[in-house]
Amino acid sequence: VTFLFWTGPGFDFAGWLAVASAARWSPTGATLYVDEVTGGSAWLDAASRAAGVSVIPFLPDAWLSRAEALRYRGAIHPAHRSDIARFGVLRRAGGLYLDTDTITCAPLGVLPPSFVVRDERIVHLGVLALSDGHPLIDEFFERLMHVDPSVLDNYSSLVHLWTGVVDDRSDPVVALPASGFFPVPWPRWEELFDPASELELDGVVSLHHYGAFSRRLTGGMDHAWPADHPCPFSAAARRAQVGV
Amino acid sequence: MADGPPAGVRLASWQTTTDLEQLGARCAELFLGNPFRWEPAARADSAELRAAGLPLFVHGSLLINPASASADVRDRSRTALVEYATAAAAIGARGLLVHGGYAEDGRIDLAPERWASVLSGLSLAVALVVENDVAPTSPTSTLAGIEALWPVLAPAGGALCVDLCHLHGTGAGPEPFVRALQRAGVRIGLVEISDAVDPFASGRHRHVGLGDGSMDVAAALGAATLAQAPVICETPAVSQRADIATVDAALRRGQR
Repeated sequence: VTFLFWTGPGFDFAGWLAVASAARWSPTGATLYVDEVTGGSAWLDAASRAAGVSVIPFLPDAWLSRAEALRYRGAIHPAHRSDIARFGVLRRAGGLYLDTDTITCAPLGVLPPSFVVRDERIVHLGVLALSDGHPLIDEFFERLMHVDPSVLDNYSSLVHLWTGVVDDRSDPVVALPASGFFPVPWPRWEELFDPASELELDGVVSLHHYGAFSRRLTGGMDHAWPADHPCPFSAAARRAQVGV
Repeated sequence: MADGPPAGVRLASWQTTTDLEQLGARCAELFLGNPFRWEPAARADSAELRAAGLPLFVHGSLLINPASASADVRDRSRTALVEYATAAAAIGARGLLVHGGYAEDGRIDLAPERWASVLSGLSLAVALVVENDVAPTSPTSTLAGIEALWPVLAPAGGALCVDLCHLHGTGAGPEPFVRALQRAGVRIGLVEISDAVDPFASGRHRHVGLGDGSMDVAAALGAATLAQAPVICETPAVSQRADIATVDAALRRGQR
């Protein structure tokens, strides 16, 4: 099962592209979980009508313990709500999680059933696959629930917590290189929208474009934008084969 | 002009002793590896840090939680305290900084007992410096909680770190808080200063450069001066140089 998660307003063209392209390249389609505070949008409606896509509400109390749900609701950063939600879903259902600022442009069915993506510094949270009940998930929640909740005021805290979980555990999990998912590190995110970029997408399964930054561009996009703006983002959108 | 206590920065993993020099930092705080791992990792520049001769404070793992309701977490915290203090001593650090902890069951009244069980029989290689927190379930988020914990920390050679951004989040006035600590005989070993994104008494603690947030910076500087302890600017790299200069000036004025 391939799934994504969205919370808050502002679901834009890029969100639709993430969901539609994941469904296009996943053998089982894609599920978009939207939480109880999500605002509606035309692109969210479009995602719900895309081929192979299911959009369903994320009910924290159904996936998380009472204490975990409190952490979820108390998270100041929407990204942290998303982080906690994906582990709640993975714990019970397993599957492949993709962020809503990704463009899938190659088959997902060939990926290992459990894997993480890492670079020199961190284990990414934006793409990961774990079987249900995987011990790394239990360790994630174990650490999350025993740290002072105020450390989550720091935006990067959960990715470092997750990195610590993976680095400290001896349980075998496949670590795939970041080049297949994060070919450009976040400080250089603008390269993905640069007409002069020479970034090659061969070998990229799902292109992450760092929505915290790229939203300023994707917020105004529609289907026509990639055709008029040659760049790695547009090339990935065409490879997604979802009518862009 | 008399020198005051030193002002410095929290040194990021990518910053070096050269950065400290260029920033005008006369002390530093640093993590040893990923703060969400139980075990410390040596920095590549350990020898340079030791040779710099500055007062250094190592921030322990954020997983360390002596106030935890979980005996397993307290046991792991005890082991981590020893390992982090040993690693801190290896780079010549003056202290090991840890948070006051978090009582998952809300029983902050049990925090002194839980802390005592963690510290019992321990001899740490550097001084323990315990930071005030912002979460209501932390024993160090209130003056009363700190006063209750102090009889456990003091015999272990402990000191308090006053994090002024955390204090802002809890809604306590910085100068009255420092004066109250001093009246209670609580030793202040370190101050962390920054501005705060969130409003007073928000329960949050997002740090920004001095003057870029909602904090009464003059009051924070006044408290830092009163504390008579090294001051760490826990602020973004882009504002560290200016923040050190601001704090340094306030500390020097306080010496006159």
